[in-house]
Amino acid sequence: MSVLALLFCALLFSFGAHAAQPRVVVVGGESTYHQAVFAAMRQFLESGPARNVLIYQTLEQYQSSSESAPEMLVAVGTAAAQALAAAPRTVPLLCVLLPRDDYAALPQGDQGGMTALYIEQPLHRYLSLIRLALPQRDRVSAVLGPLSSVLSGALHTEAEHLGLGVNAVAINEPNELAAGLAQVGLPSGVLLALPDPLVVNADTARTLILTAYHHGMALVGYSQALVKAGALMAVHTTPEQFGQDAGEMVRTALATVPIRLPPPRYPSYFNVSVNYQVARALELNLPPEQQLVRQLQQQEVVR
Amino acid sequence: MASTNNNLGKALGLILGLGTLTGNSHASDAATLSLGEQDFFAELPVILTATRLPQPVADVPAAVTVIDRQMIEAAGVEDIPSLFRLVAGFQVAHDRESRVSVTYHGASDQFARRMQVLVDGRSIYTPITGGVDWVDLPVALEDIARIEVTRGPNGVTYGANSFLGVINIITFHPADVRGFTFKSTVGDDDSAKGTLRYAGNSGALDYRITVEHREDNGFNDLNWDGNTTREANDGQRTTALTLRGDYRATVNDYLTFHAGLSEGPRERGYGPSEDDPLRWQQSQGNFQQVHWKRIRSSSEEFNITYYRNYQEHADAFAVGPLMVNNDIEAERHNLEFDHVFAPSAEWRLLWGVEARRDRIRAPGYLGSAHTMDLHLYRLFANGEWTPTESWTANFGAMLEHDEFHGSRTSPRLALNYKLDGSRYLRAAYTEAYRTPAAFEERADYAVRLADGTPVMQAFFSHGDLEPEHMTSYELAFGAHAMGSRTSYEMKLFEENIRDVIAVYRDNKVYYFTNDGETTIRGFEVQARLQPTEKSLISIAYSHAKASGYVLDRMSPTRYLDVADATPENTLSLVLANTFPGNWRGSLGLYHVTDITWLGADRTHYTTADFTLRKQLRVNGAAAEMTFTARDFLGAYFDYTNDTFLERRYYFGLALRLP
Repeated sequence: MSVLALLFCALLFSFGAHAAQPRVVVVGGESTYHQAVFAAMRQFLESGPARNVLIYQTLEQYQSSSESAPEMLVAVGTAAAQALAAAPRTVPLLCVLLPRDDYAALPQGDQGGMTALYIEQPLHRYLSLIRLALPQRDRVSAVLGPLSSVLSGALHTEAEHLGLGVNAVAINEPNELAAGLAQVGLPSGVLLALPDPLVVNADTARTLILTAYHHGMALVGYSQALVKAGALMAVHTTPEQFGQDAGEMVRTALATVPIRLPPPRYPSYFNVSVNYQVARALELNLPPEQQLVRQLQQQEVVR
Repeated sequence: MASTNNNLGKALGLILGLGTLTGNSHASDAATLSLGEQDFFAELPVILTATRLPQPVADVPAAVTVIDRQMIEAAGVEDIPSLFRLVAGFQVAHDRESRVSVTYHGASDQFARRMQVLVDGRSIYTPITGGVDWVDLPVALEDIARIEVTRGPNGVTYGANSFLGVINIITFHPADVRGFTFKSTVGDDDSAKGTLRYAGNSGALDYRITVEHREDNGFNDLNWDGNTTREANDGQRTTALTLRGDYRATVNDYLTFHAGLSEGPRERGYGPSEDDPLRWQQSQGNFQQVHWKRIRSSSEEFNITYYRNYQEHADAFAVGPLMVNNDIEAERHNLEFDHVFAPSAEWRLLWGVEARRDRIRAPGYLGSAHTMDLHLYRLFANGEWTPTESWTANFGAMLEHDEFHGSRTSPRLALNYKLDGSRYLRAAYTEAYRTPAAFEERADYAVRLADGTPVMQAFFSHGDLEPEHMTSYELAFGAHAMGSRTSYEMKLFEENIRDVIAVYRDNKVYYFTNDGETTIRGFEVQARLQPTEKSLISIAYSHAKASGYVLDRMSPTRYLDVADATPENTLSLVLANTFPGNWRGSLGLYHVTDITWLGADRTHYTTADFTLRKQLRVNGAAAEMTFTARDFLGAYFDYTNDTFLERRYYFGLALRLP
């Protein structure tokens, strides 16, 4: 029954869209942050006189529709990116909210080109934030998991560039986390949490955050949830910022004939979130979040 | 191994009634494979909350001494009460029959009725005498993560009986002690202790099980018949089992379960007089506790806690035609709700309600075979206002009601000022009440004939007692900085206790009445220094002068001068150091000047303990050998001159497997 309803909706959707063929189809899931990415893209791309530039379809809607191909496809999230990249395609594809490693693993056939706006932040952004907000702390510790351990080399290089020392250890099992933290834990240092589900998840949050706190370490992460949970601060990109950024990539691409995609890159918009309660407990005096963002942006322009 | 863990977890889950819940969890199994958007956008449990993130020491409205694991090790002791010697102004005393008194600024008898003692939020003082049975305590030293001791009244935060001070014992979260731990200690006085713990995890459930057995044959009486030595009749054997489960039900809902039981015999009787023969008292107790915490954000949470404590002593005996009944049975049901939130950046509020029912039966003590019900209700609130970086003000109040003594309100006001990043000043004013214990209110203790006719009355109360009332003023200066190796606090204090409940004697019978007052003034220093990363110095010093009186005797009327009941100087000094080769040594020095315990003897003493440890680590497993010499400066008594603490040696072995 629900399948029928969905089909019916999809049909309605495609008939409605038929009147003026949208130039871009955005394909994603049903989560609120996927919708938020699309809403921000549309707001950006349709801000001028342009109307009906893009539509949103779930993967199921897209796969079952028989529309003629748009000029460009945008995949939001890993599932959409993998499905769209695997299918025969003649138009360019932009992948948003995709981990860099997942993008590299996609079949790179030359069927119209492909690019990505990675979900992660570049390493130097975390490290610059640490330098900027915690100038007196120059040792960075990290526990890396199977996915994040590939960043070990880059982490050392980038940190050295900024005059930071790095103490990293790699773990392969969830139960090695406590020992890993004990190994790299440094009183009054910085603990950098990089995205890796083995190291950071709902089950490990307690160990990670309490260990850092009890060592007096400043925990720096990559998501707002981590800051809310008890990390000192994080640099992260909101779905709205991803949408804006992706919109800009789409506009740039559509402006060229034939369409030429910009190279894959990290998000250029970001926020800094600070847990001022934790800062107070760690007896740290941190500047306002917006000031940190501005200073980081200025540094990146110079870079 | 993993499957064993899982099975254990499920078994415990079933025990805790969570069988259905633990089966369908949890995130980590599925999440280990790839990075996804959920890693960046999904909610995580809020770990550091307003209650977990303790106020910086500089903003705390009371004098608090924290005994952490490092201090516990440095003290080198195997019993919990001895740890309180590390707290400025605290005295620990050993009475006959393995009773221990822990008090602040003296002014106490064997029951030490004026202290709140909490284990994981569970109030464990007995409603019959108001004191704490430290030997029965169903908590293993190995399970204690830290003890927070508030020096001074703090009913707003900790509830009824938080009068002279509050001892808040916090046990380890199972996730912090995963694996097997075994520890055994043997030593003089035939003392033996064995502790076995397993802490594991199954999905969102962390749990631990601890079994402990401890026994000793107590101290010696070096003053028997004036100058001979005999073994005091104060042996005890205790076996205790405790369980704790911490279950994360949703991303921000936590359920914590505690359950435990302890039992064992204690030697009773002074002998050889016929009315106090040598015998064994059987003790047993159990507890259950459920706590639900809902975290809404780092600054808002709700807590609901229910617990039940049960304690029973069986000690009834006949002497010829006479009956003595020391049986007691006490059951406490307690329900508490609290809510912490921050309505603005400057304010943090806490409010809550608590309801308690104590059911007690002590036919010999209360002269009635009936069960007595005592109800207590509490409404409390505290506001912390931080208008500027430098100033913090705390306004708190507690409204308490019970059926015997009506309602009363205890306010608290504290103002903290930060001089710089680490140094602070505090001024605090607190009022507190202590509700009379059942024995004080309803005592009717007598040696009786088999039909219940009293032959020799020992204690009697006419009731209608007023709660004791205290006002406390303190001025403090301290320094505490994160990452700094030095923290200290100096405090000037004045405590006025009015309506002191006196235990007075009239023609061989002891009665209770409100007739006494005490003022204690003095200053205290509590310091913790770490000259190097491998060393620790803990200093606790209290200088106190008491004045006042308490009714001691009627016909003719005589008052006791309470000046002698508080020692003028109490000092403890602990030095610990780690040496090459994983050797650690510590030395504890304890000094108490003249004190006359109410109902016991005058004493003063200087004593010292010494501990040496060697640690070994092999393949993630850790072993530790310990040698401790207690009271090696020689014999002394700290309460009554027939219970002596002599030089004792202990050997311990501990193993930890991940």
